[in-house]
Amino acid sequence: MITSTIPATMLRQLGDLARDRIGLKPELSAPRIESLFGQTPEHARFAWVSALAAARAGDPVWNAFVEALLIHETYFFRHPSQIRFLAEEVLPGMLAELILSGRRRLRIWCAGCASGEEVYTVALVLESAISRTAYPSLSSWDAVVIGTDLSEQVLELAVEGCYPMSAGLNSFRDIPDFARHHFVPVLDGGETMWRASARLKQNIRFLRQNLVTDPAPMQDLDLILCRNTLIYFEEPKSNLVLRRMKDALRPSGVLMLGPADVLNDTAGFSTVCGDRLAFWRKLPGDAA
Amino acid sequence: MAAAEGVTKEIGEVITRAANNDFTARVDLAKTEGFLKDIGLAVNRLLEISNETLKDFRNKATQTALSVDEASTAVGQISDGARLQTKQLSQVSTALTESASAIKIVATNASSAREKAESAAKSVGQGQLAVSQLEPIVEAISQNSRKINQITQVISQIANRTHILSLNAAIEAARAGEHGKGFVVVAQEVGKLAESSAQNAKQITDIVEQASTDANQGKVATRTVSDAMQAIAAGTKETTEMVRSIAVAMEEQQATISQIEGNVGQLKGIAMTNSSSSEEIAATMVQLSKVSGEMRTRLAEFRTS
Repeated sequence: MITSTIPATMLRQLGDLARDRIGLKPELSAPRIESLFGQTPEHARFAWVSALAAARAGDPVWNAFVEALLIHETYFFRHPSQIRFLAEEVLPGMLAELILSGRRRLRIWCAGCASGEEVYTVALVLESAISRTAYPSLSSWDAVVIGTDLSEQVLELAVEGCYPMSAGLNSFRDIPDFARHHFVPVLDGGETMWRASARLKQNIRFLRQNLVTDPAPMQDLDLILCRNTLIYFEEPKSNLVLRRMKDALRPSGVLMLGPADVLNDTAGFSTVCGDRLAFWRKLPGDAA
Repeated sequence: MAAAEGVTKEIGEVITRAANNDFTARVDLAKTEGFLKDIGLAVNRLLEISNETLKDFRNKATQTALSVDEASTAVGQISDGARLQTKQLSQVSTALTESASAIKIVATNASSAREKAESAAKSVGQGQLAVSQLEPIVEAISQNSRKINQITQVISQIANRTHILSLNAAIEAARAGEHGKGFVVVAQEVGKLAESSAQNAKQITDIVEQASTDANQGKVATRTVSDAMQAIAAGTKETTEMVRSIAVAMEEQQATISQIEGNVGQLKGIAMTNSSSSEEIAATMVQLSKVSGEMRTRLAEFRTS
C-alpha cells in the first residue's frame, strides 16, 4: 500500500522551504503541496520530495514547484475604489508636484503583478491623469511602470498583454469603458483575445523578481503598488519586503497596499487617506 | 484643604488606573464639592462612556472574529471545491478526448465499410449484367436444339426411306439373279448405313432433347440467379445507405464532442479562475482573521465593568 497523502514531516519540510525562499505562509501552501504530491506518479513521490529538498533556486524541479504554488489572481481595475482614488487624487497631486519641480520623471513599481493587468491599469490611469495636466502628452514625460513577479509563466502573459474575454471571472470583469478601447481583438487559434495597444505598452516593463531574495528593481520610486501579494507571506517575510519597499521609495513617495494588507511598521509613513484605502506616504524627512 | 488634597489624589488614582487599562474605578462624588466635584463628575462620565464603548467594541470584535472564522472556513471549502472541480473537469476533458478518438476510429471504419459496400454493389451490378447476357444465350441454345430436332427428324425420315429403298434394291437385285449378286451386297450395305443413320439420328435426338431439357433448367437457374442478384443488389443498396448514415452520424458525433470539449474547456477556465479567486479570498480571510484576533487581544487588555 503506497500512501497517497504526503507524510506530515515532508509537508512541513516543503512548506518551510517555500516560506524561507519565497515567503509563502506554510498553511496556505499546504493544500497545493498535498495535491502536487498526489499528482506525482506513485513510484516517484519520495524522489520528488528529496529532489525538491536538495534543489537550489533556479533548478527546473524547484521552478516547477514554485509555479504550482503561486496564485495569480488579478484583473483590470481591481478594487475600483482604490484605483479611483489613485487616478483622481494621488496621481494628479504627484504630477502637479513634479511639474512644479520641473522634473517630469515618474517611476512606478507593481510588485507581484502576475499576468500584468494591474500594470496596464496603472498605465491607463496614468495616461489619463497626464492628459489632464499642462503637459498632456505622454511623450513629454519620462514615465515607466515596471511590473515584477516570481512566476516566469505569468510574466510571459504579461509581456504579451493578450487576454481572453472568456465566460466567468475574466480579466475584464471590472474594466470601465474608457479603458476597454485600449484593447484590440486578435484571433488566436479560434479564440478572440484582446491585446493591449502598442501605445499602452510603450512605457511598461516586466521583470522576474523574488520579493524575498532580490532587491527592488529600481530606487527613487514615486509609487509602489503591492496588492494582494503579501497576504500570502508569512509576517517576518512581509515585514522584510515592506522595509525594502520603504527604502526604494523616494521621500514623499507613495506605497499602495491591498485592502487586506497590513503595514506593521508605520514608522516613517503618514497615511494619505486616513489609511482607509491603504495608501501610505513616505515622510519627506525620512531619507532612504 | 486636606480633604481637597485627598479628593485630588483619588481622582489622580482613578485616572492612573484608567491609564493602566482599568475602567472600573470611579471617583467617590459623595466626598467632593465645588470644582473638584465637577472634575470628578467629568472623569466618571469619561470612564462610563469609555467603559461602554470598550464593551461594545469587544462584543463587536468578538462578533467580527467569529464571522471571519466562519467565512474563512466556508471560503476554504469553496476553494477546495473549486480545486476539485478543476481536477474533475480535467478528467472529463480527458474522457472526451478519448471518446473523440474512439469516434474517429469508428468514423474511419464506417467510411472504409462504405467503400467496401460500394465496391460490392458494383460487383453485383456486373453479375447482374453477366446473368442478363446469359439468358439469351441459354434461350438460343434452346431454340437451336429445336432446329436440330427438326433436322434430325428429316434425317430420320431420309434414313427410313433409304432403308426402304435398300430393301427394294435388294429385292430388285435378287430378281436380277447372278448379275445382281454384287448389287445385293451394295443394297445390304446401304440398308446398314440407313439403319445406323436412323440410330445416330435417334441418338442425336436424345442428346438434343437432353440439351433442351438442360437449357430449360439453365433458363430456370439463370432466372434464380438473376432474382438472387436482384435481392443482393437491393440488400447492398440498403447496407450502403446504412453505412453512409452511420458515417454521417459519426461525423455529427465528432462535431458534438468537439463542441462539448470546447464547453468543458470554457468550464475549466471558469473553474480555474474561481479556484484562484477563492484561494485569494481564503488568503485574505486568513489575514483578516489574524487582524481581528489581534484586535480582540488588544481589547481584552482593558478591564471593564
